[in-house]
Order: sequence, then structure tokens, then C-alpha cells
Amino acid sequence: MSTPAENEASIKQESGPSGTVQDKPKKIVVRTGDGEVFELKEEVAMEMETIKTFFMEDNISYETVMPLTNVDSWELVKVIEYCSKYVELKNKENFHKELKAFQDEFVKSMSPKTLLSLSNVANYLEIKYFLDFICQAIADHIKSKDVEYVRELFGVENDFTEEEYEMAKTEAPWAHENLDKDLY
Amino acid sequence: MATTTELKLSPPLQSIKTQKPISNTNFFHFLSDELIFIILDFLNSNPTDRKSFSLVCKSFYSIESKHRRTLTPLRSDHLPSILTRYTSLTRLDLTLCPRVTDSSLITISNACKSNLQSIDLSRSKYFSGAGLQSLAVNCKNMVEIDLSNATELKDSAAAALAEAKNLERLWLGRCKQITDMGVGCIAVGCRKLKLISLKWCLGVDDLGVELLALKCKDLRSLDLSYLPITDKCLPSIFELPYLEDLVLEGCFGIDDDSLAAFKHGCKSLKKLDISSCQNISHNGLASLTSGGVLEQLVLSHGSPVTLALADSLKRLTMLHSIKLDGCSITYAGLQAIGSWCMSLRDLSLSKCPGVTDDGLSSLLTKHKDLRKLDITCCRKITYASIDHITVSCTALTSLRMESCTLVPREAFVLIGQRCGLLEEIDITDNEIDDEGLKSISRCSELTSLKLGICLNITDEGVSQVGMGCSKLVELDLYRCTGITDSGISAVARGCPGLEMINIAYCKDITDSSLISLSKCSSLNTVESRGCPLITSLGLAAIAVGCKQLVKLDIKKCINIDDAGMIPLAHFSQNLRQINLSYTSVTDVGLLSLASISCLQSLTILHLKGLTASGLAAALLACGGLTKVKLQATFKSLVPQALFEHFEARGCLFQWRDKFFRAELDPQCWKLQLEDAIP
Repeated sequence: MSTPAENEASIKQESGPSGTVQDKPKKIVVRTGDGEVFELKEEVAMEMETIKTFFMEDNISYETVMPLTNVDSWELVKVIEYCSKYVELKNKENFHKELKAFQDEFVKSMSPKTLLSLSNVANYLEIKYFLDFICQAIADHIKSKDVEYVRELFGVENDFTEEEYEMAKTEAPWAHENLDKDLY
Repeated sequence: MATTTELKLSPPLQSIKTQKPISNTNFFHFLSDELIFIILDFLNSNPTDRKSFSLVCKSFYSIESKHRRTLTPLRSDHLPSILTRYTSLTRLDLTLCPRVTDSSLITISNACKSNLQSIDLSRSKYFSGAGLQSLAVNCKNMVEIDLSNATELKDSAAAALAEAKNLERLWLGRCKQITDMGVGCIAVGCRKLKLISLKWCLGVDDLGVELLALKCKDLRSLDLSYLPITDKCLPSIFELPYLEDLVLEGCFGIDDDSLAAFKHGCKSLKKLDISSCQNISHNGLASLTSGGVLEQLVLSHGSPVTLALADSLKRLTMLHSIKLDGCSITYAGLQAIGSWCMSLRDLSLSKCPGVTDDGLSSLLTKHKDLRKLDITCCRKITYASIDHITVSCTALTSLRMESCTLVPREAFVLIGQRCGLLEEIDITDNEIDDEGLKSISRCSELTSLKLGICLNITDEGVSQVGMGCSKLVELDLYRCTGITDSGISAVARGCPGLEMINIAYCKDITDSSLISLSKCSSLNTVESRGCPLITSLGLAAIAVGCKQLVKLDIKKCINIDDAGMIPLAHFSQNLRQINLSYTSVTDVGLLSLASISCLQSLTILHLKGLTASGLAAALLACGGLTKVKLQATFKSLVPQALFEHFEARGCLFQWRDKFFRAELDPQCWKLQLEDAIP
């Protein structure tokens, strides 16, 4: 699904002036919001739509350092970790199994607040599978927990008055989705 | 391009740079609505999760209100307030509201306007053409409406519906008062129709169907089951350029000559169902072969499958699925199927007299790619057939062989050994023993296992299933009297995704099993009839642990009393169907169930502790009931006016005159059943 621009860009790079050879892995350099500079492997960087668009759309050379002002260095480290692993496992046979094992390890020690920051970053960098994964992890934290727990978990304050709360609670006997009609 | 993506985040995020991520700030304010919508998408499995989310704070409340696209209201009188809160609804499922009036439909159409795309009224009554007109006129984007079972709807209602110009999918099953006139109006008005079901619309015949075929050229799917149509309308049906799916079940007016029209048209038909069409024989079927793209054929309960019939189908080179349920089959017929050039994926020979070992093996020589095989009640097949099946069809994902009574226990070992990809197995009423079950436990992809009336299995086999089949979703151990707590515990431990379990009449099951099962948080159906050792303690554990419980059958669990109803009432907010017959529940327990707002079906036969006033109070309190099965004696004890009130609310009563029956032992029961079969 590469655009003509992308094709052109890759041709340009392959026959670069200094004779940069295809076998040397290309690097993309980015600078995070807190001033850190990171070198990313091209295949990992291209998983992030934002970076991909930045370089491909206007044929910007890889020598340019792309600013990622809305991303912190610790966040980028995590993103790189996930995307590198994903790219590595992508074509393997046990992809789903191994990815699941990696995913479980990845979120094991993460607090909900970390997950929330990462979801923002995933959205900004436009990495769909990472965004879905993080949002699922956040949803898993919320599942089967009561209202107070969810409030505390995300540091949100209750701004309902007593009356408003009671009204919202009993408003409509709760409606359900995903009915299994065959039960009747 | 980087600048436009930066705009996605709201300004406050800039300040995150300087703050440490672990401080106690409101992080949700930094997330866009769009992100929260994605999180909410993943929060779909349990409705109470979303409820908790919406009650956290005002902004969550409003976000959840904006996010929700489909809604299933519990009471039609709550519609006005629900619709004010949820303004982005695209689908409204009213199957829990037995009473939907024209004014409800008008309210809906005014509130949802062009957002509404789909509405399900298949379980509702009391509306008419006026309400439908309002929907058709105001909801311009309505593409789908289910009006099955609307037995009171007349042609004028159909004419009103015809104003829904964008309608694509319409179900009118059982609308017996609609005639050709009504269908004609729909045909002229809804030109974009892609799917229409007129099953059992006995007032519609050739004229109406012809009009549909002439005007709605986009039709892909057409169900004309049981209509009194004849060969007059078939030519125009076969001329529909995009028709893929045609159901003519029970159309007695269609015969071999009718199908001749197929030769000149119908290049797009992929699926044809002519089950129960007694007047179609191999001559008619021979006309089908010029079609060419037919993939699925249903010939159940039709003509005998002879050599001639099987031969008439051999040029359907794209055919991959065929259902021959209930058709008598000859050896020559089976052999002929075995000599087809196309390889079947899905074959059903359920209840076909005439299926023998020889016939089946000659069939299987060709069809090695079978994924689904149904040989239910093929009572002549023996070990040899199972041997052949398992050797030839190693890619099988579904095997149904209920009541293959001549298959010895040794044969079942072969299934697990050779067909490791099986996902669904039905071995109800067979000789399988623990060795066979241990072999089956190797099928690690198994999701559904039915072992009802398998009297030779014990905990030993079932425990192995628990260890090997971690993806198990459905387990049926109906009347498997050899099963006790240890087997069930092993399953509960090893199969965390279990959703449905049937341990009816497994007499030795105690509360310990229920406590183990309470760890399976996805459990939605529990059938534990006739387990006398179960008490309210076990039931309470299920109620607390299995919050998704929708259907519960504890008939004849004589030691369950009111104490078991209280935890249900508190925790089982998803419960829709319950059978309490012959338990020790009294007025008090029954009344406490009223707090389960979505309770719809109640079976309460032979409750010794139930009085007329207790019954009346409970029925009044359970506002959502649609079906109640109870003793005929109560008919006269409760004021008639009260019953009329309940019926107006949409509740149906089913009266029973059964006497208390002592439970028969399994062998005796089984012998009785066999006597009944010719």
C-alpha cells in the first residue's frame, strides 16, 4: 500500500549519494519533549504512522531530526520496546502466543496512570495495534470494579451532588447489550 | 504534517512534561473523548462495568452517554428519559419490551431522527401502522427493522412502512394478516431492499412475491418459507440479478416443473434451502446444475436421496455444504455422493434412515476435507464408521453423533487420537467411557462438549477434559450420574472461560461443585435440575461469583430455599430466566426476586410454600415478566382482573396440570425413551 511518494523516497535512499548500501539498517532520529535524542531502526519507526507520514509525505531526508514534543523519553522507551518486539514477532509462527506472553509481561507492573499516558502517546504517534492494546489494558483495570475503585484508580473526583448521584443511579433500570435470543 | 497531528492533544498536555506521571491529578481530562471512546469499546462484556464508569463523575457520565450506540431498554415507559440521555443511538433493541405502543414509536422517531439505523420489534406488540409511519418518515437512515411475530399488523401498516425509502433489511415472519397488497406497497416503496423474510406470511402468494421480484432488484436474500406460492412467481425470482440466498422451506406448491425456470436465470445464487418440499425430486434438482455457483444446499426432510438424486447434483462444482436431515438414503446414493468431483466441507446426515457403515465409507473416500459432520441418530453405524471418519477427515472441527447406539466405547478413543482440531463434539446418549473421554481431552481447541446421558463416564474422564480443554465454553453432563464434585471442580479450574454448564440429575453433586463453578466468571447458564444435595449456600456462591448469570434452572433442587434467593436478588442483575419448580422457595423468596429488573421468564410449578397472595405480590412487583409457567390451580385463586392486568403489561401465562412425579432412575428412563422410538 505504499504511495508513489513513498516509493520514490525509498528509491532515493537506496541509491544515496554516499552509496549507502541496502544492507546497513537505516536509522531515524527523533527528539522527545524533554530534550532526549533517540535513534530508531527504520522498520520500527515506520510502525508509527506519524513518523512515517512526516518523512514520506514530503520526502524529508532521514538526516532530519524529527521533533516529538508531546512525547516524554520514558514513554518513547516503552513504545520502542513494544514496537520492536511486535516487528520481531510479526512473521513468526507462534505470533499470537508469543505476543500474548510479551503483552502480559509488558503491562504487569504498569500503573493505570502509566497506561493512560501511554494511550495518549499511542494516539499521537498513531500506532493502532499499540493503542488498542493499551486501551484494552485500561479497560481490564476497570472491569468488574465498583465506582469508588474506578474513581481512586484514575484520581478522579466525584462531582455529583447526592441527589444527582441517586438520580443517575436509579435513572433507568439498566439496559443490556448483546442479547442471546436463543435462550428462549 | 506533524503539526496537524499535534493538534489532537488538548493544550493541558504540554504541562505533563514537567509533572511526574505519578501525581494525583485527574488524568482523564488529558485524554480526548476519542480515546475514552476506544477504552469504552473494550468495556463491552458486562453492562454493569459501563454503569460504574458512568457514575464516576459528570464528565464520564456524559461521555458514556455520547458513546453508546446500541441500547436494549428494559421497559418501554422509560424510553423518554433514556432517549434524552443517549443521543447517538443507532440501534434500538426492544425485545425486552413486550408492550410497545404507537406513542412509544413516535417518541423514538422524534428523539433519534436520522441517527436510528436499526430497530428490533420482534418480541413486541400493541403498535400499528401509525407508529411505523412515524419511524419511516422521521428516521431517514433506518435500514433495518425486525417486525417478526407482529400478528396484528395489517396491509395498512405495510403501506406506512413503505415510506422508509432507505430500508434494506426487513423481517416480517408470521405477519399472517399481511397480503399481496401490503407486500406490493413495500415493493414499490422500499426499492433498496436487500433482505426480506416473509416466512409464514400465509396471506402472501404469487402476486406479492412477483411484485417484490420485479421492483426490488437489489435483493440478495429472500425467505419465502411456507408461503402458498407456486411456479408462477419463480421465473421472476430467478431473474433477480444479485440473489444469493433463497429459502423455500415448506413451499408445497413448488414442484419439479417449477424449478425448470432456474435454467434461464439465477447465476448468483449461492445458498438454496428447499427443505420439506415433498414435491421436489431429482428431476427438479437436475435443473439446478446450470446455476454453477451454488455453494450451500439444504434438502432436509425431502425426497429420498437415491443414486438419481445424488447424480443430479454432481455438476454443482462449487457446492461445499449439504444438509440431508431426515431424508432416507440408499447405499447407492451415498456412493454417488462419494464420487462427486467437489469436496464437501459440511455434511449433515442427521436422522437419515439408511446410513450404514458401507455407505458412509464409500462417501468418505472422496470427502476428506470435511470440517463439519452430523450423523445424529444414525443407528446403524458401528466402530468401522468412526474408524473411517477419523482416518479420512482429520480436519474435522465439528462432529455431532448423538444416539449412534451401535458405536462401541472403544471407537471414541479414535476421535481424540486422530481429530485434534475438533471444536464442537456432541456425543449425547452414547456408550463412551473414561478412556474415550481422556482421548477427547487432547482436543485443545474444544469449545463445546455434549455428553448428556453418557452413563459410562466418571470423574476420571471429566477431570481430564478439565485439564486438556482450556477453551471449553459449553459442557453438557445431563443425567451423567457418574459425575461428582471432583470432576466438576477439575473442569471449573481448568476451563475459566466456561459459559454454560448442565449438571441436571447428577445426583451426587453438592455445594462444593457450585463453589468451584463460581470461579468461572463468564458463566451465563447453569442447569442443575434434580440435584438434591445442592443448598442455598452453593447457589449464593454462584450468585456472587457469576455476575453474568442469565439463565438458571434449579428445578427439583429441594434443599434450595428463600435463603438462596436473597443473594440472587442482590447480585444476579443479568438474570432473565429462572426455573424454581419443586424447590423450597416460598412467597418471601419469590418476592425478593423482584429486584432483578430484567427477569422475564419464571417457572414456578409445585412450590409448596407459595400462596395465592404471595404469587400476586411477586407478579405485581416483577414488572418485566413476559412468561410465567405455573399451576392451573392458581387460576381460580387469584382475581381474574389481576391476570388481565398482567397480560396487558405483556405477560403470558402457561398453565400446567402436572401431578408431582417421583424421579425415575436413569436406566429405567432410558428404556422408556427407547421404547418410544419406532
